Amino acid sequence: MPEVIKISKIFLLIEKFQKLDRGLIIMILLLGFISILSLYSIDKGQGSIYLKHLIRFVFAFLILIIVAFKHISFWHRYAYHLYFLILFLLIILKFVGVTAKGAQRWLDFGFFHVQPSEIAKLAIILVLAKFYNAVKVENTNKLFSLLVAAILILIPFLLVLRQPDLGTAVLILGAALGTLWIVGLDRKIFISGFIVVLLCLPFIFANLKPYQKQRVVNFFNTERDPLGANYQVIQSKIGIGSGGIFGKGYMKGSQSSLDFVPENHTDFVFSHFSEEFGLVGSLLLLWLFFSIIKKITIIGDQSKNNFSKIFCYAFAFNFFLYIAINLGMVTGLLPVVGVPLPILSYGGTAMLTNMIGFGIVLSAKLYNEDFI
Amino acid sequence: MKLFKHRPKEGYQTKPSIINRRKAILTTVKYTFFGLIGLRLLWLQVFQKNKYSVLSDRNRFKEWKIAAERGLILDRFNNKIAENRQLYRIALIKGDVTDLDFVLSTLNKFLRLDIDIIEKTRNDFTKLRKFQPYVIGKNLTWSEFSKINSNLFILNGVQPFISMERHYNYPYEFAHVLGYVGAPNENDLQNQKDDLFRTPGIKIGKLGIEKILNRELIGTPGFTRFEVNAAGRAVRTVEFVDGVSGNPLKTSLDLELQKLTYQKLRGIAGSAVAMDIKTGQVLACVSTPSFDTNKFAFGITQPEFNELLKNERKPLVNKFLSGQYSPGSVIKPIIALSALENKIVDQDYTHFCGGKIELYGQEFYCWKDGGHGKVNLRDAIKKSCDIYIYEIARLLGVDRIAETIRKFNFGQFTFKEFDEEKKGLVPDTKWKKNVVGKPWLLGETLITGIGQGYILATPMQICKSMAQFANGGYEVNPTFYLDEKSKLTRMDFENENIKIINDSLVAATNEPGGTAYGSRLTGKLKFAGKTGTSQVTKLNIKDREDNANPNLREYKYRDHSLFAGYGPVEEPKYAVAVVAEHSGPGSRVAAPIASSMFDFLFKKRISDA
Repeated sequence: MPEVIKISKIFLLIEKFQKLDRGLIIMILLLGFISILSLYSIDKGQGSIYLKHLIRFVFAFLILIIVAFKHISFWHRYAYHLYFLILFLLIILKFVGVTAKGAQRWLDFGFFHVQPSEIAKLAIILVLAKFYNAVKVENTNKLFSLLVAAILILIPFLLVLRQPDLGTAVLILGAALGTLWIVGLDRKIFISGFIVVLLCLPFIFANLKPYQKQRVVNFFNTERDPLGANYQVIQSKIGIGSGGIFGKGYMKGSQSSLDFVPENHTDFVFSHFSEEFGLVGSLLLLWLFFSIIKKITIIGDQSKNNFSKIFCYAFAFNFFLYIAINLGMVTGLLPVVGVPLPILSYGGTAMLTNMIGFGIVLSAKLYNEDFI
Repeated sequence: MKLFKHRPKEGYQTKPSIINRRKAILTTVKYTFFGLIGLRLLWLQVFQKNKYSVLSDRNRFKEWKIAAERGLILDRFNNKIAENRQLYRIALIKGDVTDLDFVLSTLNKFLRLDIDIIEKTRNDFTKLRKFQPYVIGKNLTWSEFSKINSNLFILNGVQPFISMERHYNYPYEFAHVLGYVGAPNENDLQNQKDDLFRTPGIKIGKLGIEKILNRELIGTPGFTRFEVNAAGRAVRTVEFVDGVSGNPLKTSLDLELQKLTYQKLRGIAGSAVAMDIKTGQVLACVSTPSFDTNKFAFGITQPEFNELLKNERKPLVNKFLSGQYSPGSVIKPIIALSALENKIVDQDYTHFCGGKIELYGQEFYCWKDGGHGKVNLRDAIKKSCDIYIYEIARLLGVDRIAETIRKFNFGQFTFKEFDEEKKGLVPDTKWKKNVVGKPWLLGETLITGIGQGYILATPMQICKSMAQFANGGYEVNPTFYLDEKSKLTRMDFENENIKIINDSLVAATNEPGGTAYGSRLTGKLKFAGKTGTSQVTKLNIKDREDNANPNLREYKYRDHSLFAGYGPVEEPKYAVAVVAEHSGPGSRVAAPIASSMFDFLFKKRISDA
């Protein structure tokens, strides 16, 4: 009999594999492939960054598969655990974190660095999805549920803001607000919240760090200080613009390879891609991103349980937010905030977070008939 | 408790239906933003592509210009008078210098640099951009150069190199006519439309022919195009284009004559010009005391420059073009010509010289105490009789005198392109009224007749006027270039009258009693010419008595010594003018110098040829 169980388990696994959303997986692999190509090209085939990224991608992809096979109810069950773990990590970061570029963002685990603030984005979506899954429709806009949600959101937001890491904090807030929107929070709350923020804007601006102020000022005056704070955006625009319709050709982009674009491996990786592959390549990449978002949304549509729905829509929105802010930044439409381009940008934790997110989405798809 | 009042809902809302509606709105937002990014990319990559391509290339490539070798300057016999020499030098590359103090002190050990140079380097260094080379202002000897080369491993950022720099083979002899080169200053850069002068290490003509023909001499710079990274460090060489060196310039100057003339003028403040009377080609033009143009080419030190500026004999002044002198008696041939032309006198007219006359309540003296007795026009020029000239000047009046003098282009620029050239001055009644604001005095006419008073001329103008007598009355325009020949235009003088004057000029040098007789040449070929002694200050009776020994006077009050002549007499070919400042009578200093120049020309350039 044990053999029968074993065999049936194997069959079950095969069945699971067959049920996985192949479209989404192919698109993720395609993104990974583009990422490795770009990083390889930036360093003109030298250095080891593209290799490291490849290893991380493969590692993260394995985690994605494992996550995907876990029942969606697992994530529902442990949402609060994960949330409090992240809070704990964010707090101890203050004491044992690795300082880089004036901010404490990384935890050193010996062989790899983890940025808890990245995972916080995922945790906040999960925790809000779980919370609102439980809240009845008519209680959505009640003060108690609002207060709980506000506390859930503000604690990690403020912790990350104090690191200081404005980009990630904004993304956490964005992801949380997206989730609140999806679960049906009254529009008036959003509108009044928006007005309050608008009124507080001068106060917020006054409390920004000098470099953050600089970025905001520069955003409204792009030709100012071309060698200083605006240098990144100007060089990035030069890279993109000089690519033209068909691009300069693979390995022929000069802007990033000659180090004119700072953060060329991380936040500004799109600039290099766009320089080499032009408008055509860029639009194809945009289409790929958009297809992934659409796919996640469709998986949400197909889910029978609200937790999966909320998670999928919120994660799709979060994914969109990354892309929108990053592309807006590198094309000079938005001020410079340190937001990476998902999967494409070099960076371990962001990749891991996104891949876990995709994994949960795939799990939602795999178990879309199930209720929690 | 409700925070916000609910709108009455149509029917019962399930959670999935709310979520779905909200998702749909979000999807619209996403579509919009993706569209926006797409449009932004379209704008950047299609409509602004050209702008960004240019910017990208500007980022990517840097051109480092390399100054071309400057054109040689040759004399009329192809002797090099200005050429280029290999210099061993060192540059510092800012981005590569890790410790400036260490580098400088180490260099100092090998090269024994001046404190000035070290301080200058230290100051200039802070202003440099990254990876911009800075050339240290010292020439190295070969042994120093090789010492630096073998110690490069400790000298981070030091770059030894060999460059071609201007070298003047005869820096003193040709200083004023050739001028010199130097690094362009802010002023030079601002007057420049293109960026040629911004070529690193380029030298431009600052004075004289070097300045006038700078464009022809400077050549076309070569360049190396590098691909550079964001830090400005060259990643690889993309292109190397050789410069085109400047065209060699053949001047009309005669090196041997120039050297000889400089030799003769040494110790005197003065100048001498020799030219071909038919082509106008200048064979020699020397101004003394001179200065070392090689020092200027390399950046003269401030104390050395100050010394040149302070020197009362004015080494920096180009005396043959910007020295303005009372021509003295060398103007007399032109006064005599004016009298003949205006038919005031003929060649047989005689006048008695008693050494002095009294006119308009003033006494006017002849240079010769006791006078020349009865003189005709020929004698008047031969012996340089002042009384005779006073008389014809009185008869002519200043306006007729001025008209004739102007026909010889006095009071006008001889060249157009020399910034330092002066015009001289030809006075007349109108001029005095307009400029001085006083009416012309008749006594001034007499003074003008003997080349004193207001009248001023440059040695170049004097030489040109003598050339125009020598070639039989044709206007000739001086030039410094071998491939240029002056157009000869007939001046409106009677041929006969020119001959009369020329005959008297021959007499003045070659007949006993002539003022330049002592300097005559005794060979087959002879020269003709007129001496001049121009007073710098008005003389009183006592000075007149001291005239025999003018050296007793203070230097700056001594007479200028002038001579203008041409030769050979039979078949004139050359004209020469010599002005020796504060040196006494023309016969004593200027005439012998001119004589030795003619001697050289006759022997080496006519007999030997």
